[in-house]
Amino acid sequence: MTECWREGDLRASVDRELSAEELERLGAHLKECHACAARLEEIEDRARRVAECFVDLAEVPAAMVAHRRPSHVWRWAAAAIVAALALAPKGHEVAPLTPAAPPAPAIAIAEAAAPPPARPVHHRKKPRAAATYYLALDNDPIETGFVMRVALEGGMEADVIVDSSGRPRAIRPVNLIHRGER
Amino acid sequence: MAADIVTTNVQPIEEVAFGRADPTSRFEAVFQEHYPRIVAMLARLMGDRAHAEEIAADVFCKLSRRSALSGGDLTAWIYRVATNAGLDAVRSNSRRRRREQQAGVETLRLASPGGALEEMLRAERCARVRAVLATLKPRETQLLLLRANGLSYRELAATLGIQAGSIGTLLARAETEFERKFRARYGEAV
Repeated sequence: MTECWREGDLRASVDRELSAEELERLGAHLKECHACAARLEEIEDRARRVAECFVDLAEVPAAMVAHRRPSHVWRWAAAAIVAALALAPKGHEVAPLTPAAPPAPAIAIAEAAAPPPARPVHHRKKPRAAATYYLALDNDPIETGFVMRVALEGGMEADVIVDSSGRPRAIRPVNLIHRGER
Repeated sequence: MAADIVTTNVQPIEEVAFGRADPTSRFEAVFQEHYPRIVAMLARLMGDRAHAEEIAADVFCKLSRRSALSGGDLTAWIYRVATNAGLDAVRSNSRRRRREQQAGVETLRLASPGGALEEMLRAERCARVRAVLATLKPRETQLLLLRANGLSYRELAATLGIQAGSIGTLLARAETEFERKFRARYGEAV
């Protein structure tokens, strides 16, 4: 009987890292040596199991990607939303959110109870059904926050989750199917 | 933070050396060839591509300052330093990782309730694999990660500064060790 094969060479054969000549000799040996055949099978199975463990590591799910600071766009959007809320503090009564809204400091939230401004406010509408799920705007965890319904230009509405620092963290559009219902 | 990690892992200066003639182009070549691989390896190890890029960049930054160095151990040195930095990050970031995973699960729960459980289990599996990798010898971790990246035995040998003939043996040993530690830690097979 030919000589038994080392573990390292058996492992290399799994990855087709032996020469053609070596593979041929190994094949001949395996036919006559059940011990080596069993070892090869064991090594092959283990290599496959371990490789499967690493498949998942290849893709980093989006939600686990490193923290990224919110862009300035969102800081401004947060300020604008806070300003809009300060203008329309009651229920689903909403004020138009103008892109040119000046940035307001986060303390504007505390002033939400102030008397409503002279600015025209939309007619009260039947609340629209919202999409079921929120879309996260970044990958950071949301610890505390509150939901605001805001009006966007063009008559669209959206629910926005704003965290304690005034940053918008998640958004969902209000279902447009119900548009026009009163 | 990455800078601190790398600093603690930098080898003595005489261990690493750039070629004689044109250190800049040599560095350039090493960077071109190995930077993407190192990032891929670290991203697998850490589950955080941005942090992986940060550490890889840091390693090359340190390397670029070692202008008087030479030798075939260069790539082995880079991978060793990068892996050690990545392993340190895995160990020291376990708290942050947990928080991120929770955030990830929460985001997924909000975004796609159907796949949330599956995704959570997958995240847990990844965390386990990384935790076990962090307990292996750095060379074993490197071998497993780089092999998973698809490097041939010849490339592995050149990269890690070891004989091509011993890759099979080391790989088999690393896989056995990985399974053994996984089972010891979690009480179940991989």
